[in-house]
Amino acid sequence: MSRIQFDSVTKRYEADILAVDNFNLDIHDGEFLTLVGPSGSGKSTLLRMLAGLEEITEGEIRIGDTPVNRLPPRKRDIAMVFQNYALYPHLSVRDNMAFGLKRSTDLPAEEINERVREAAELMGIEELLDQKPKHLSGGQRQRVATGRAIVRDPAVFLFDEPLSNLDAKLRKHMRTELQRLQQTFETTTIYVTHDQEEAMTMSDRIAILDTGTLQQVGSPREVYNRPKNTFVAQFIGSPSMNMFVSKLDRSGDRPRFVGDIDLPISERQAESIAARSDADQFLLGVRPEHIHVHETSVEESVRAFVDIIEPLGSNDLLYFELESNIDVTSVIGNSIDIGEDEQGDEEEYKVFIEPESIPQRYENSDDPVYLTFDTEYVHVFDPETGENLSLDQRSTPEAQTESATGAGD
Amino acid sequence: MASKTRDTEELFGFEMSPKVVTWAKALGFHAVLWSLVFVVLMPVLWMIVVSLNQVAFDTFIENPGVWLDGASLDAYRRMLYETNFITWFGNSVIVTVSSTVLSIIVCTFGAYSIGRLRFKGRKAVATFLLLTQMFPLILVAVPLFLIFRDIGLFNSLIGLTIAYVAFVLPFSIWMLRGFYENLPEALEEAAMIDGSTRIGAVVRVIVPLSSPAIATTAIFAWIFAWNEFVMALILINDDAKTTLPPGLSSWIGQYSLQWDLLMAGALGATLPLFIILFFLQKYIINGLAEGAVKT
Repeated sequence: MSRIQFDSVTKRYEADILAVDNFNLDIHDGEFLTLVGPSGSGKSTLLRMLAGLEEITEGEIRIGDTPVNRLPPRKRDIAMVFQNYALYPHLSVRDNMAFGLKRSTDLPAEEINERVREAAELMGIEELLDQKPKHLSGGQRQRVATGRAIVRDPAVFLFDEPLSNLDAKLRKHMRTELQRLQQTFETTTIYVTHDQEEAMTMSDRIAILDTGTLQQVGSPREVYNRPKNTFVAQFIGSPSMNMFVSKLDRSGDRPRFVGDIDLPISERQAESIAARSDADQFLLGVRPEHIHVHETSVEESVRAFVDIIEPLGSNDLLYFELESNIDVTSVIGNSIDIGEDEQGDEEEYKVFIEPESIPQRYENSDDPVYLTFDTEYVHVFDPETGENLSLDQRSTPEAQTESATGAGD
Repeated sequence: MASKTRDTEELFGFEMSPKVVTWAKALGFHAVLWSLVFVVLMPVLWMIVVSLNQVAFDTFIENPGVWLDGASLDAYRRMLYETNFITWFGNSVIVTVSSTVLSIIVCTFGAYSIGRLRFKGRKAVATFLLLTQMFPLILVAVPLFLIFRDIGLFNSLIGLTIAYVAFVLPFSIWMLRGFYENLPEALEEAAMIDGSTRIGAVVRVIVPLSSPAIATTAIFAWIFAWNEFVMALILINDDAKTTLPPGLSSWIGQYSLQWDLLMAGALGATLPLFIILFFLQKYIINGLAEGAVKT
């Protein structure tokens, strides 16, 4: 019905700037799919190509079973909510919402009026129908923009960062509201955001993009627990995954990682890693919740020094430094994006702890704490390709089919 | 006593009570304002004075009674019944209205395409448009006369209209283009997704939003066409087809100069502009695009 297919879609701008590179994705009917990635990753370009606002350089996009490459936006049966809402300032809320119905259908005026009223009721904006957009608050404008989209009952909803202009509290509220609406209408929805938290909480599936290339597609849990590469690992999850550099040492009677952190691994794992990569050093990715902090030395623990402890309420976030660490950037290949955040502090190590389980006096002191790791949650990445080498042992058949379409590169 | 507040204020070094200061400031402000208005309107006032009774300036000042005694609407009567004034006025209206309407239509779409559509040579078109404004009108008028004579547009109001549109367009397009570039693109995109064609989006969304800019452009085109003298003089040589500016100038004879008639004509020619500005000024002030997007 209204499934959407991206078939080898490529977008190139004039001066050979590659915005989207050979993008393949199949979006099911009624699915809520989020395109997420940092700015410049091509997510908005993809959405605009689907809407018909941007030409497709190569490849084909199909809505339902119709190729839409050559269709103008008005013939694609889509509705879009823009980041700045794009309400027509000279029209009242009622006329804003009726605009699309008047243009794209030949419904009688009473019918249009009725549908506008229903949509307004659903969005809780009936009393605003005769206002002009400039008299509305940001949240109200957002509701009108969403109402304008749902009133048309299109085959596909497109959202282009619709919540980024709202304050944090309202954003959380609208998030659940949009989700509820999508579940009511069961309309195929594509949602673009740079906020991984929004992506995680709202979507059936998430497609993660970086520099125009699809990195991974999967359910929120899947991309969180089984990131395909360093970029996904770092981008999804807040705070992001810790990355340590260690060598695989198979000389002893048990193979183990030695370097930033020392970890024993099973013979089978070592075998599989060595079979898939001939790298000398590896990146070990550990999420902050998979590290435990002890005040005294325990077996297989790593010494670390506490920088600062941030109370977050239900738990605290502890920033630590290792006695000596190898610079991640010195190890990784040039093409590898480890998704460092805006401050560039990808080397900051973090761990979640129970509130006040580690006393404040450790902050910036010379007294070490001792870390242990949940070895089954440690991801091993190839520093040259960024690929997650430990993935196969834990992947399920379901995950393999889901990520098969996501292999964009 | 240290906490006693001051109940006087200082203005130009004089101590005065606050009430007096407020009053003095208001007086000064209005004095300056109204003297300016008077200076600006003085010629218009003199036009009215002379059109009613042709007197010298010093006579009017020394003995206004003389002026009042001889005041009559005779000049207006002569203007309406003994000259071609009404025909010229009609010609002016035809040329001005049609060239304003035509240039608005052309420049709305022209400015939109230069401001929004991405096509090769867009910058070159914009630059060449402006280039035409570098030549003085009279320099263009002579070759234009030769061309119009050859293609049969000489001595016709259509020809004059085309000439006016051609001359007004570059500037209008540049003015509107700047306005369009500042309108959020998402507005037309929303309209196009909502079922409009691109032209439909321009007509239904862009034009209503740019009405202040279009009104400004219209006023510019109107004033230009209404006041234009050189082209009308060169491109029209039939007294019944000419417009007001060359028409009025023909009243300045070699031996006689009827100041009262000339001033009556000038007033009659000024009136439509007054009316137009009066009605359109609110569009110039209005900022309609306010509230379009979150700022």
